[in-house]
Amino acid sequence: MLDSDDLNMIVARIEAKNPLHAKKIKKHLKTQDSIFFERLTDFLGAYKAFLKKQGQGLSDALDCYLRLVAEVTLDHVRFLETGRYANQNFEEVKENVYDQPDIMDSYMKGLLLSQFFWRQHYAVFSFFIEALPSFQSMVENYLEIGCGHGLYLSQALKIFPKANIDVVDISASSLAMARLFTLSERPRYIQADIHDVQESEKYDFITLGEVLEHVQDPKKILAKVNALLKPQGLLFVTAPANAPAKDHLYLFHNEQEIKDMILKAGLNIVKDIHVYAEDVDSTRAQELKVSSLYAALAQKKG
Amino acid sequence: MDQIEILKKLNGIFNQVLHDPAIVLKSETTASDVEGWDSLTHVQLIFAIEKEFKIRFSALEIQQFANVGDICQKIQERQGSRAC
Ligand SMILES: C[S@@+](CC[C@H](N)C(=O)[O-])C[C@H]1O[C@@H](n2cnc3c(N)ncnc32)[C@H](O)[C@@H]1O
Repeated sequence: MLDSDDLNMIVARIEAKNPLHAKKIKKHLKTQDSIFFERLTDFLGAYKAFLKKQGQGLSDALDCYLRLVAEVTLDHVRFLETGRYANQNFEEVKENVYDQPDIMDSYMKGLLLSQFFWRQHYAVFSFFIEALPSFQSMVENYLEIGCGHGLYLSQALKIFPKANIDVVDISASSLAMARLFTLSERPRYIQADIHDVQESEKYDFITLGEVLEHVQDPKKILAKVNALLKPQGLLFVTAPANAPAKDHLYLFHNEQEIKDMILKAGLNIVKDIHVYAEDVDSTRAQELKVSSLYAALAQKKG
Repeated sequence: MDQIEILKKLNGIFNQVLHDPAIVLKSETTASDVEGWDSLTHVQLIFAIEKEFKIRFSALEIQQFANVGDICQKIQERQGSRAC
């Protein structure tokens, strides 16, 4: 494991405020390789610089993270009771979450840390950064929908140094955070609901990370994406199953439902992964309705 | 409900949810004393406890439970009787 003051501080603070979560984090860190710790070190450097600009430090971000963990835990208890997600209405979520700067700021700061500390998030993030470089020569126009915190955008900026990059998010807070975290003015930052973006076949690559579950009818988003892609264009798409949260509307019960929806939208799945939030076998995970994350690299038919 | 009664009921829930009849809880018992008590089973435990005692915890409460005594105390608070 990395001998890092930052990491020691992170683990100690989690331990003090949520001992059960600390148990999980320590187990997660034990299974990681040196590449993880290199990436984490780079990331923490960038994250601290970002926080500093707002007069904050890692401990502030950790409080956001711990708040998120606590909320998601309780949401899961409620989900076990009802078998459904609590919210059904997109406009309500927009008003109560996306349009609330304080809520979004804390949410995205917490979610950014989870990209390294939740096993499903890190596995999918790795999948993304390892898959992208092979498309370097073909990507001229790149679009990310629902950038949130901006971690994926920061990688796309590095991997595609010459591409035209558009970023669409419904939340002004998310766009502001992504801009400040990446420190890049290269992308066009567009505040819009993806449903309303005009369709014209122009992107070689679209990234759609954890957005499908935020809408009432994800099929419409996939149809939109298909219309925005050039023939044989690529889509990197992720969506969670059994993952209640304050802004999740559409419940995927398992990864097969997500896969089927992608295929039905007329895309081919080139490769994919599926990772549970807990380190258990799939039989137990399904029995206990453990959250999971599915990610696919898909291609529009030519 | 008094402390002994709550603890007894909690013990039953832990035995059942963690599939381990050998678990014997005390107020001081923490997650590091109980092999199967982790973030996954915590959700199942909270779910079973809320159902059994007909109460609801808040997000903050769930995160702060450090030992069995804390859970006991919250249950009593919710039920409006004296602390563990
Ligand atoms: C959970 S975050 C995803 C962050 C990041 N892409 C990831 O995978 O970790 C979801 C983001 O999608 C945005 N979003 C939700 N619904 C949207 C919509 N209809 N159009 C555009 N953006 C949307 C939210 O504002 C939020 O920033």
